[in-house]
Amino acid sequence: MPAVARPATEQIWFTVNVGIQATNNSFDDAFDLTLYTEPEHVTVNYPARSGLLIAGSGAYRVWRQLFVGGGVTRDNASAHAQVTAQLPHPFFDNTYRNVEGTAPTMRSEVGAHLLIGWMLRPSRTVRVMLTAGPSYITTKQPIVTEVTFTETYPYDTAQFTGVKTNENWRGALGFNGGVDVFWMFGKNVGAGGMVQFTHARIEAPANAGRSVSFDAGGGQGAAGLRFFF
Amino acid sequence: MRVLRTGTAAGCLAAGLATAFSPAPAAQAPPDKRASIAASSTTAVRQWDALTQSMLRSGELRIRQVRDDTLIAGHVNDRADQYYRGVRVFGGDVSRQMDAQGVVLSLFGNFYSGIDIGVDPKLSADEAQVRAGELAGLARGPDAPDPELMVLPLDGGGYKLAWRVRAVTDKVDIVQFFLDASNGDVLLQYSDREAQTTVGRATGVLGDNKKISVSGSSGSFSLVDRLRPPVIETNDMKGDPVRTFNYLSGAVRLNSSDLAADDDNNWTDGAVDDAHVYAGYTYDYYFKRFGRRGLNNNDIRIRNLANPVRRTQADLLRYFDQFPDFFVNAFYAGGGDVVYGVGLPPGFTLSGQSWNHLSGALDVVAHELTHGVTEFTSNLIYRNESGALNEAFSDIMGTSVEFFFQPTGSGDLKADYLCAEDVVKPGGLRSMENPQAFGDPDHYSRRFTGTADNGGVHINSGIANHAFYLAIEGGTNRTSGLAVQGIGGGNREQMEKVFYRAFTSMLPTNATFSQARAATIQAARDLYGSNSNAERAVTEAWTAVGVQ
Repeated sequence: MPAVARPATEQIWFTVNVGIQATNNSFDDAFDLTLYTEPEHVTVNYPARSGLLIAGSGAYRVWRQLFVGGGVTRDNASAHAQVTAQLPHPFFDNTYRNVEGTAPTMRSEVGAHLLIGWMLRPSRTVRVMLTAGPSYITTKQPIVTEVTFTETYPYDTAQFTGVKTNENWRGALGFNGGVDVFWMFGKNVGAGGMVQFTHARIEAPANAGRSVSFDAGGGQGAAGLRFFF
Repeated sequence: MRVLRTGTAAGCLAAGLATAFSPAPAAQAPPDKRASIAASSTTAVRQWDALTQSMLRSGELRIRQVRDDTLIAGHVNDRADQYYRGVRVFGGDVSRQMDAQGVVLSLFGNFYSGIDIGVDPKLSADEAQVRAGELAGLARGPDAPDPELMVLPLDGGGYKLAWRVRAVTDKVDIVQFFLDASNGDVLLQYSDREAQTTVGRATGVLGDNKKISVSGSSGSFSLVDRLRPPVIETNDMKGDPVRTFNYLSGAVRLNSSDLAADDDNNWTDGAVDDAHVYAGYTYDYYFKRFGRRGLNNNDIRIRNLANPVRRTQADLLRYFDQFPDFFVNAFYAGGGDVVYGVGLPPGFTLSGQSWNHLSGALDVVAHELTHGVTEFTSNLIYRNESGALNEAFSDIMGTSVEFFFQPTGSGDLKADYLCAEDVVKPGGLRSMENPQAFGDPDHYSRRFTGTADNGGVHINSGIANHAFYLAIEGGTNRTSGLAVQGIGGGNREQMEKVFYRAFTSMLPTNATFSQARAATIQAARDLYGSNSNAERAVTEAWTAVGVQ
């Protein structure tokens, strides 16, 4: 059946979803600290990660099939950053000990989305909602600020033991766009799935006045209940 | 004060217990007694633990800490503090090491007895806080730790009731004050600021910039290297030859004010900087090359003394006749102490050579410290052939340290076979490649046989020096015309180990050149096998310099 627009009768629309957020937005960081009077070079790769997504949204029909509303997404994704460091030797200039390791850098992300939607009614029980709008995404991303290590005389090698991180909630404006398809199996209740893409560019504080920029959001797929009134 | 060592005879233990803890008339015993316990034998542990248990029951001891032994699974260590009428006794505590069944295996501690003082302070805790603030030069904040009432054993004997107050001073020091609980007088104070190890920047005698391992924290640094296993300290004698001499003669002790100090950890006195840094390098060389832990192989402290005089014309004229070694020499003074002369003031020469601070040459520093290695090993008698071997070993190791840390070449801060060439210019003091260039023999037939220079210890060293050189680099001896096929500079480590083994493990104190030949050949066989290149090279080298 072609997706012919039919007049919407639903006035209010709510969704509750559980799914995943998948991204390819890994990012790298590189910085220098001072150790034993020389620069200590540190590089960090924060890998892309997928995590559990919890989403909810609601919208109000303002004109024909046009809905305006909002949504909230919450995503937690664990990942391990790859950390390498060149540690200056305590006695000799230009003599570095290379250490590497991983560090847990679980990212939490909350997105608040303004949804402007257009509802299609391809059948009596099926609805399709196309949405788009601006988003405000906040993240709590641990940023590696220091490498910890052990060393013993004669200090020609060192052992990676972990990292110190700086983590704060930081937010930025972005956008969202997606589609929600659902089947109404009751007068006010249905089930459906949504695919959405959200994005924002976050700038998070690191160390010594330095900040790190990275992408937040990503592709989101979730399924859940739909409520209509 | 009485110190008891236990773990031996039970009779001695019993006497110690009676002495330490039985009431005794003041006329028959000093007013304070300290029992120093180090009990590890079954008998001693049983007796001391019985006393400990008794004191725990009576409240004279109170458990302060119980910890799992992190090194031996299942074992537990605890600590208990001594109390007198409910007041903790400063320094009175005991630690016990127990197995998984709670059986005490060893016990260490100090108990004080003979305490007979009142425990009611006339000075209140608040008054003690105020008094400490006055002494520290800073008012005590509301979150300052509370004073603790303690029984303080006095250094001169007896006990006093005291308030112990830990205060930060206006000099950013952390001081433990012990204030008399009756009137606020200071009974004892000491800095409680633990030295921090850090790394700073140093400029050497030749203007080179490098890292330096020091102690201290913001605003106050001293040249004490605690990053290496031994303490390496460098003292700035501040141009005081009399104090330097008095220290060397045992008349005075050095103290913290003698340590070279700096405010910003950017060290600019090349004389002290290089003495300190190069002593560290020398320790590193011995450790990395031979696995040796310092001069005595047990991380004895290394103490440098720099600037024994000022490098000025006035000091030269005033002190040179009395203390020439404080100018144009460096010497190992025994026990890990090394003194570095300041050289000559700019514009002055000796035998046509200018002299900079002796500590500015890595080979000089390593040379002197190697005398320390010799002191604790073969202890070669410092005269005649054994003395020449002693000097040669220091030259050999000094040069080896240069090659270990510096790039090969000529000029400042380059590794070569000249001795002290970085600070005595032109040319240095000796050449291992061509001893005759400095009037030293390169062949046994040319050896000095007079009595000067302790029988030519700095002269005849050239023979062994040249043998070492030939064994590595090869070449033809200028006197004998005999050619040597060296093992090559890339294999110098082999010859360094051969000479190190021979000179530290084999040679007797009154060694001869002939014995040095035999010992190094044997060392080469031991290390690299019979008929090895090392054995062949060292044999050829000694033959070339005329030593059989």
